[in-house]
Amino acid sequence: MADQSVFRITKELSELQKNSDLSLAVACRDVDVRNVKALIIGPHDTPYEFGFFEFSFKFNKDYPRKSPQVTATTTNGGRCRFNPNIYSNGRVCLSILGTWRGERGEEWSAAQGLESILLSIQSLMSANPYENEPGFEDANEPADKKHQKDYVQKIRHETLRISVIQRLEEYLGIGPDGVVAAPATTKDDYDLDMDVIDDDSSVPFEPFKDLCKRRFLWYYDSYLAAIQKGKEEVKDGQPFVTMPFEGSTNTMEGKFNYTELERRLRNIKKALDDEAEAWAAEGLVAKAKETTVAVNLQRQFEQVVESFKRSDTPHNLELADGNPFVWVLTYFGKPMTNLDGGLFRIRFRFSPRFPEEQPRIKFETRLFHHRISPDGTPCYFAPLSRREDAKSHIDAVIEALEEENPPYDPRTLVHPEAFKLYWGSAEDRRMYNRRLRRSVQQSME
Amino acid sequence: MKIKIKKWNAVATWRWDIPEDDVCGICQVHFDGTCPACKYPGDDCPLLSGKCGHNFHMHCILEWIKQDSAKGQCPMCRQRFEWTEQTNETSMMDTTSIPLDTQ
Repeated sequence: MADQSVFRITKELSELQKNSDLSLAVACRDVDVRNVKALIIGPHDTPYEFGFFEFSFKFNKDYPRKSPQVTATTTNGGRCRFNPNIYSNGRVCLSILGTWRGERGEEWSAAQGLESILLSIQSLMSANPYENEPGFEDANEPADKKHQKDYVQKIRHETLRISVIQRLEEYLGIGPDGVVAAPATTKDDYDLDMDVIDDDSSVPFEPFKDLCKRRFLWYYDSYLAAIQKGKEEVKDGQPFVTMPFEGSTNTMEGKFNYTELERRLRNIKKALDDEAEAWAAEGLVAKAKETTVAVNLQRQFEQVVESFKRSDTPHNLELADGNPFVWVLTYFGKPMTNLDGGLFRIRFRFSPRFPEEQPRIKFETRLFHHRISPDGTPCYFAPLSRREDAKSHIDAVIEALEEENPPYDPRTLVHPEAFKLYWGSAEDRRMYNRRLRRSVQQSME
Repeated sequence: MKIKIKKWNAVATWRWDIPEDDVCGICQVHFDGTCPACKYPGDDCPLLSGKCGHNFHMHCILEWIKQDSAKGQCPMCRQRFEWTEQTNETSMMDTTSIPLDTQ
């Protein structure tokens, strides 16, 4: 039964990728399905909110009879214990993994799998992780109350600093001085010699780079809000409080410095905006060279224009400066809705590495909408299976914009103020509608 | 060479007598397919139905249950796993023949 495990892992991977849970992502190299990387985005209303936590899974041949080995890799190089059950050395204590003594019925079973493990880990990331520590579940003395608060405060700080800021700075090549290193000269597809093609294994496997960048843009305002909250609660330079269960190296130590975090966060935002801006220039070069991506995007553009014409779609699509990497959509608000009469310009920027890097989209017309961040980034879901289809992105953006009765989903929290009003009381919802309509009206002026 | 099928007779079709969308809780393969170790579905790769109502490929559940750590429990509901008697006879034969002319 040598291959039994591979069949199942492959199945689970494609299942998870298809469902595209907004807070989970999984990936592996094509040649090696036994080593899986997974990303968990920290849940709303917890100190882990919108942090990027990575785990590595090793599936042995006896899977699913035996559980996989799971290691946390977002640990600041083995120095940070993010949770009573997620150690700084990467150990994840969970009864279903057999890394923790479990109650009857909590041990591993062959019916468990990748997704159920990820959900179990995600549930450790709670609003009050202090009580995860055995013996502290019902600890409610005044000293415990104080500890619980201190613990949440430092986790929030390190979630921002390590899981978000450090990760993005690394992706973008931002040094400690805040200077962005010049990107490594991108290889020209045509000059590539067959025998210098990178051996897969020598390149670090970073499957979540583009995802984290795009999610950062979604959650940027929530990060800023968390920093604001932190600044009100603690002072810069104040040291973290050590928890009674934290040991010598298995701990979370450091000092608060929200001022510094805010500076770095804004710097990342700027670098991301610059990056998408630079794609336009790169795109013009690619166009001149008639690269595959340039030709592909040009063709897709013409097809979308054609399909708009055929289906009498009122919206208008054109290229900015004839650049197939920059599309400008003029969207006409849907009649009989709050958007009625509105006129919005939406810019789609494509990467020369499309579709590996997904488009960056921005509403240039200001709009107060719960699915559009204050800087104009829309929160939309394009099906992963059709991510190379540019039109699926346009359709998904319009769908997010026009959706009448979306389910409550805090993972779509990209405009904190609008989100709060939208999901608040009846009076809040009326206020939301008023503000949305006002911004629609302004779009016509 | 072009082949034209003029006529074919299906002799029998069969499927396991269990809900259509049920998959093996261990290998997560549909019961119309085999366990990962086998090639042909059918009597060579039979199913086992537990008294608890959970079905598995026999090969899958035996691999699981023979481990000490399984404690004899069903992987799905963790009740004691006891199989029902009619093990190999759960298949349903359907011997309709379908004469078919393509021309």
